Amino acid sequence: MKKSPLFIYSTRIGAYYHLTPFNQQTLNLETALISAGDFFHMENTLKKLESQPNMSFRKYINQEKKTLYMSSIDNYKMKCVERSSNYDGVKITQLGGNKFIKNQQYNNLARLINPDILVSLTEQSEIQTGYNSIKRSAQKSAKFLKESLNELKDTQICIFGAIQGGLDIDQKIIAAETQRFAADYQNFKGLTLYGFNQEDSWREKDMAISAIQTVFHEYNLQYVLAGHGEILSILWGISWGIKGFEIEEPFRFAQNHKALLLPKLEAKKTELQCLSGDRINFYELEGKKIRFVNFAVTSDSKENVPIDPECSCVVCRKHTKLYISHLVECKEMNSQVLLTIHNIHQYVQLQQKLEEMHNQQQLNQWIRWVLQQL
Amino acid sequence: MRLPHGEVKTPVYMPVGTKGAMKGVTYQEMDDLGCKLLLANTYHLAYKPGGDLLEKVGGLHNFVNWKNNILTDSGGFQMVSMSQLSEVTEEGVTFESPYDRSKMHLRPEDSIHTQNQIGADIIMALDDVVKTATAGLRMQEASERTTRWLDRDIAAHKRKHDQNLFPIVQGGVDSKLREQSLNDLIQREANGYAIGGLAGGEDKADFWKTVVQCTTKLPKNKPRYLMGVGYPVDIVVCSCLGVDMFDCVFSTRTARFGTAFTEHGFLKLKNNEIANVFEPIQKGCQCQACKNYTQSYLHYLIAKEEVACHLISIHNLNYLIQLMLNLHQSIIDGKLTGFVNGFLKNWYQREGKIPQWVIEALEYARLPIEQL
Repeated sequence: MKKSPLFIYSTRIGAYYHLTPFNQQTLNLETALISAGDFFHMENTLKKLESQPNMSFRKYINQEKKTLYMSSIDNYKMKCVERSSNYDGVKITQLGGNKFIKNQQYNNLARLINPDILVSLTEQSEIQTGYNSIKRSAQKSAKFLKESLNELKDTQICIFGAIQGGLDIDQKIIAAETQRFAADYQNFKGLTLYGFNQEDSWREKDMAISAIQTVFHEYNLQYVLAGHGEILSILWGISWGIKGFEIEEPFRFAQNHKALLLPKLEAKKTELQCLSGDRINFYELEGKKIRFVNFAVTSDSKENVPIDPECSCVVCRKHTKLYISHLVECKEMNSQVLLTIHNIHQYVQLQQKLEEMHNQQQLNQWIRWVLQQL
Repeated sequence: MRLPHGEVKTPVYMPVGTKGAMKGVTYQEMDDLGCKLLLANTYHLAYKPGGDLLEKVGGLHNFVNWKNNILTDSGGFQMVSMSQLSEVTEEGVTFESPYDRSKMHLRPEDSIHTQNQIGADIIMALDDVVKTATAGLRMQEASERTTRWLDRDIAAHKRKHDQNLFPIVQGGVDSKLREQSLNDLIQREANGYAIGGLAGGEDKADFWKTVVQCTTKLPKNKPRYLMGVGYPVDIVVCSCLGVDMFDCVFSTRTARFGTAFTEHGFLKLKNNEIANVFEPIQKGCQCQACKNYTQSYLHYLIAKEEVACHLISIHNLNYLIQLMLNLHQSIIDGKLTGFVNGFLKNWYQREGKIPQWVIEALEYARLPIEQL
């Protein structure tokens, strides 16, 4: 991954939710999550696109200089992959409904899209099923991974495996073990980790990530944390060496009329020096919450002041909570546009700070310092 | 026009930001499009966020952070078109609020007071609004009452120094009533005049003749605002007939259903044949939608993600704003006839024929039009 950390923003058919190119200008977004289910019905068009002069897929979706990360699972869309008894594929939610997709089709689509990173097709076993069912799903995911690695070895696409299993250690180990073979492939670059969405299960998350990393400890892999991309999960994941994060939280918050309020990001050197550089312990995260303004509910959202007077986003510079509150009350879609811009700006600021602290080798100290504010 | 918040070239199309927002388009984007004057609705703003709050924060300009000009309508049209129950008396209009069903009463004094609080650069007199097709005594009553209400509007107007009150000419398509209304309003001397009571489904011949009747009589040195008209052909023709200002929600409303304006007419982006068209909506258009996306992509995106609606709205607004600027320039350059002929040739290319009412209207304006 070119940047660390990498924030991978959710899209619909390649377009960021509510963000026109004009409104993206100040945000400097560098990645896009391409959801496979958004594109299967467009295959014919994508094939025709290949023969168009000066028109690549990236240009088509207006993401030319971005890192494209393609996945079958998109946390912003409900239940987009369902298991299937057919060993050759899974059911993927598409615009026309749930359809069975073979791994071959998934790889073909990947060729048309040509992402920088492709997360291999995966299947999660149903909750509370037996060992055999869990093993079958894990083996199926491993099979898909192997096929993708072989099918796409002539491309520049970096393949990531998909580790399912929720926070169950045994399931996680089964999933990791069945995919360990992939480390021998040159185009295998890392793993996307699913099932870490549960709030406040930090101890369990510690144990689950540790189990996976133990299986792959000999290999220099990169990890992407799938999920909502909550800020606390990012801080936790960074501390465990996770380099990439799927992000849909700022969009979801905006849709629910919420504006994120980040804690202060600028720490004095003296403040960091007295903090430990060890990995963050699970109990340091317990009970911590990120603040937000809930425009649908809170009475103090009607103040004639910016969302955050110290925020430099265009929304905080140009508009007030009073105005946004009015838009929410009138059910005007501009409320979601403005809140999306503000929330994404928070994430961009966080990403820049994490990169800076990584370069200064003070990441864990800085994360500790931030957590102390919450 | 020189208004308190800057100069506006005419003819001008005014986008409609009903409740203090242009649906899906930020005010920064509106500024980027070159919009100098837009519309807001008193009826809606009076309810939310309310005139008192707007006055407290320094007016709508401050509330939404818009540095250019704003026009507010009086609330008359929404009152009648949106309310379940409306009863009009000489005092004012009693109606049921569509928001909470409470009984509300709007007098001319109330409308002007709220518009003073909103602080727009141009405000409209409260008029007795009836459907265009209304005939007989009710139309006469409405037309005459509008004049009486205008006097009350003028008396109630507390910000004559920085808000321009436009009266509204009524009379439907009845030339006698129109004439009477025109005479009454011109006597009251205003900084501009609106032509109301049209664009309600009347015959096109009646439409343009009524427009002509108004623009012929209204003072030549004052802007004329034709209310509720925003189809490209209508605004080109009516500009040639002497109209300076237009407003209509059609451009953004139709955008949200996937219809884009092009020089060759309306383009329905949801149609299946668009799926593999890898060209922008309009070649040469500098809007965000055309600079960054193809028809094909917007075809797939529309109805799936709202940003498609935003983009097509931006395109349609840009189309109309540029159309008006180009028409303005063609007048300056003495090339109006060529401009209008070129526009109509492109617009009606698919149909193969320019409608008769267009030809007759432009003939009256002494613009020779070549039939296709």
